[in-house]
Parts: sequence; structure tokens; C-alpha cells
Amino acid sequence: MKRLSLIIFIIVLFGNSSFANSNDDYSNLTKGKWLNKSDGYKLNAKSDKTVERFKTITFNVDQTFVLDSVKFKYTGEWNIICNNIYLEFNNLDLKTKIAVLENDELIIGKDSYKSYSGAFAGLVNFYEFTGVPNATPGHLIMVFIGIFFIFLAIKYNYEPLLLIPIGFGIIIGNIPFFQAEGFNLQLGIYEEGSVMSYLYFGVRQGIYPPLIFLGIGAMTDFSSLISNPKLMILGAAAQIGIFLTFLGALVLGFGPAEAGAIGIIGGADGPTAIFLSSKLAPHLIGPIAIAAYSYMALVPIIQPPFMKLLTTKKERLIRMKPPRSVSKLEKIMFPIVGLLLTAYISPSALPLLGMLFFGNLLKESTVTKRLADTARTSLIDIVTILLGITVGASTQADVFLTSQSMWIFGLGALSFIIATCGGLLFAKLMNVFLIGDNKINPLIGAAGVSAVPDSARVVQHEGLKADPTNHLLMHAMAPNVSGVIGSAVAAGILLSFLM
Amino acid sequence: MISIIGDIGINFSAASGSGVTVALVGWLIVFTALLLLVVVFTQVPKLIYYNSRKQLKQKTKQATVTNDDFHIAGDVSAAISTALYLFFDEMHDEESNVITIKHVRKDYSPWSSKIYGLRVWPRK
Repeated sequence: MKRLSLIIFIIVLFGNSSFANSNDDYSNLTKGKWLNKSDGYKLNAKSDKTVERFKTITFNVDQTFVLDSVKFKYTGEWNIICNNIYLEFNNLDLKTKIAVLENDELIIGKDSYKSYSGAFAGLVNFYEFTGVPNATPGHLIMVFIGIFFIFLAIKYNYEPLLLIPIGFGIIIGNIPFFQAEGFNLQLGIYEEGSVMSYLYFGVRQGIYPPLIFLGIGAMTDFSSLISNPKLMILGAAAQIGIFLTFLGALVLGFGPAEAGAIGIIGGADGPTAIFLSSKLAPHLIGPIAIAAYSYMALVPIIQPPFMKLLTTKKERLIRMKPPRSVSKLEKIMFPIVGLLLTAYISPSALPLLGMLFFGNLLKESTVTKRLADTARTSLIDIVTILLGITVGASTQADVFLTSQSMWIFGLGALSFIIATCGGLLFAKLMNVFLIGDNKINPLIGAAGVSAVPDSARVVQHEGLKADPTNHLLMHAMAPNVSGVIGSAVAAGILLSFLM
Repeated sequence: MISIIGDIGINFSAASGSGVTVALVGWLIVFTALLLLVVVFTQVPKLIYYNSRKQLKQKTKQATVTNDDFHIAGDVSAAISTALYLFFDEMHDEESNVITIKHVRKDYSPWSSKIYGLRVWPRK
């Protein structure tokens, strides 16, 4: 007991004496702020990448201190015993830390802090929150891709209504900002509570695609399809792209649900791709949507070589019978019968098919002109803006630039090619059984890939190249719109099989 | 499994069995759905025009009646549409020559009368 009392006495005496000295040796401690920059901070829960971040300690004259790290502000009391600075935290879960002053540096464990004036520490803090220190080569690559999309849209008029919002969205999504796991500035699309994450909710939950389909239904004229129903088969044939890509993704090691979501890129239908990936593989929405939309925009480049490769000059010259006129009753019956038949077979595609056929009924009934006008103009425009900008912004470099995304892009291109070839070859096969003027120009098979109306336009263009008086646009619109129905049915089937 | 990049590698066995079944059955279902639509919409015009076809058959017993008799060919309807469009497009040519400012005649109202305005000097 005596020995213990002696030890306590010595410690108190020594402590007091050392504190007495501290006024001289440790006078700089309370001046300015102590800054440390160390690695090991995860950017976010989705990323494994770590970055360097600043930590500051402020020692106050009243023996209190504030440790300001990325996530939290810790407070406590400091004391100097035997040339060691003891930091006792108010948070009882944290152990006491011992700091040592060596050559004007404060050493706490592995971290060393340097003293700077308050103003300089403030500037450092501001700099850390600007885009410059947080920029990575990935961000710059993505910004370049965004600008390239905008260039394609303005210079070559490739799907400008999609590529401009998506391209600008990519730029927005890749403005670097301060990120750290557990720290939420509510700025990025993946940060809970940010404006962009609220807008992205419509993509994540598959709300926008059915609304887009409503507008497409209100825009689409199914008369070419009704007048020559056999062309609908071409829309089904081209869907082989979806299922072969699904197999390809499985072979590459993607899970069944992921493979299904990737396969739907072959449907060449942006809203369907987003709808399915939001249900099957939400983590892949960004790359899948970007792949689907960018390949849709690149239809005029992707399709023509395969159209020429798989058809002969003689086949490209085939003139088709002009479509017959379709009565109003048939046009009204189509959305109702079409919905009943397709949705009974594939109920999982109901949100898409229901809205598509509903939009078409609004148009064809002719008594709901105002509703049809809203659906095909203001509504679809608003949803397209929101969809484009948020899909673009979802390509945040640290989440988007992965080897998986690259494979998805590769598989997407492959699925477009397979779908195009599937449609072309099936059209050639149909010609074997068709006689006389019922024969079809196999070029229109390429329009079965959906991508309305771009692929139909490509068919018209290629048809005119072979024969400047042979207009295939109206004929190509039939497999084109049946491709929309086919890809929606395929999405429903994949959903029911894989979810 | 042959590894290519990261976690991605080629594994053909992953696609065998259920993968192939899903792909094959899925494609067949898409085909069936659209084939049903084809069948229905090939028959619909026949049903719709059944009555008129019957009447026409009675009138012209010797003549062969086909679906085409009830439809106008696309090029004919295009010609009619163009003619109608041109006709309606030129209808507005008969209009007044006043194309800029129109003179508006307003009825007299004491509320806007200048006689009772404050800027009128009182008579002495």
C-alpha cells in the first residue's frame, strides 16, 4: 500500500512538473491546427478503392482538443505526462491515445501531424472539397465519353433526343467531389437523399420505362403491321439476339439474373433494358442502359454491313406489295386483342405491354385526342429528359469503369449483330415459302430488332441504295413495332424465369 | 473455367442445362405470342367484312370476291391523301389583306373617357 502511494505521488509530482515545463516546450501545441494526410479511406460502400484524406487536431488552451476526421468530430481532453501527450476522448468507446512531439511533428501511432495556421488549414479543407484533388483518370475518360455522345448527337444526328441528355448526364455524374464511406454530402446519384438519387429512383424502380412505353404506344401506327400480319414473325425472329446473348453471358461467368439483364440489350429497346435490369440486376443498370442506348444510336453503323453481307443484290431489289388500308375498327381492336394475347402469355411484361397498348388505344380511339397528345408529347419528353440525364449520371467512374462493364458492352454489340442477322435470315427463310408478289424484301428483317424507328430508317436507306424507287419504310415499320412487342414479351419471360 | 479478366472467364458448362432451356423455351414463347397475333389478325378482316362480303356475293354471284375488293391500295390512298392535303392547304389563301395591325373599334365607355380625365383643364 505504501509502495502504491509512493508511485502515485511520484507520478503526480512528475506529471505536474512536466506540465509546468509544457508551457515552454509545448506552447506551439495550441497554436493553429495539426494536419495529417493518410490513405485508407474507402470512397463508398460499392467501391474497394481507397483514397487519402486530411485529419486535423486542434488543441485548446483549456486542455480540450477536437479531432476532425472525415466522418466524425471527436472531442476530449489532453494532458502531458512524461513528454507524452495523452488524448482522452469524451467518447468512452475510444481508447486513450498517446501523442509525441518530434521535430515539430506530432506523432500519434502511425500518423504524423504538422502544425499550420488556422487560415491555411481552412484553405486545405476547401481544396479537399473541390473537384481537383478528387478527380481520377476514370472521371476524365467518362467526361470525354459524355462529350463524344453529345458530338455524335449534334454532328451526325444519332438519336439526339437520347444522346444529348445521356451525354450531359455522364458529364454531371463524373464531376468529382469529396467522397468517403459513411460521409454523405448528398450530391452524387448513389448518395442517399441527393436530388439526383431521387430522380434516379424512377430508373431504379422501373417507373420511367412504362411511361415511355405509354408515349411510344400513343405515337405508333400499327397499321402496317395489321395490314401484313406475317411480318410480325420477323420481330420474333430477331429476339434470338436476346437469348443467345443470355447464353453468352452465362458462359462468361455472369449469374443467371445478370445474364438475363445483359441479354435484353439485344432487344434494342432502352426502356425494356432498364425495366428488366432494374428487376434482375440493379447494380448493372448503368452499363446495360448505356450499352442499349448507345448501340441504338449506332444502328446506322452496326446494321448495314450485315445487311449487305447476308442478302444478295437480287434480294435487295425485291418490291413488296403496297400495304392495304386498315379500317378504324381493326386499329381499335389491335391494342385490346394484342394486350390480351401477349399479357396472358407473359404477364410479367404487363407494365410495359399494358402501357404500350393503352397508349395506342388512346391514339386509335380518336375520342381521347388530348390524352394521346399529352402521352406522345409532353409526358414522353419529360420522362425522356429524366431518364436520359439520370442514366447518364449513373455512370460515375468509380462504379461504372469495371471489367464487367466492358464485357457488357462487348456482349451488347454482339447481341445487336445476332438480332440483326436473325431477322435477316428469317426473312430469307420466309421467302422460301412465299410465292409471287407475296415475297418480302429480306432487308426488312433487320428492322425486327426494335430500335424504333431508326432500324426501319436504315432499311429504307439501304433499300434506296439498291433501287432508288423502292421505298421499304412502311414495310419495315411492321417488324420494327412487332420487335417492340417481342422484346417486351421476352423481358417478361426472362423476368418470370430468373427473378 | 478459362480466366480472362478479373472475375470473368469462359465456362461453357454454366450455359448448359437450365441456361439452354430458358433460352430455347423463352424464344419459343416469344414466337408463339407473336404467331398468335399473326393468326388472329389474319382472320380479323375476314370476320369484320363477313357481312358485306356475303351481300356482295349475292349481288354478283359470278364474280369472285376477295379481301382486296374492300381495301384501297396504299398508293391510291396516298394519292387521295395528297390531293386532300393540297386542297385544304390552299384553302386559307382567301383571307383579308390585313396581315399586321388590325384596327379595333371599341364602344364608348365613361370609365375610359378622356372627357372626364384629370388632365383636362377646367373651363373658366
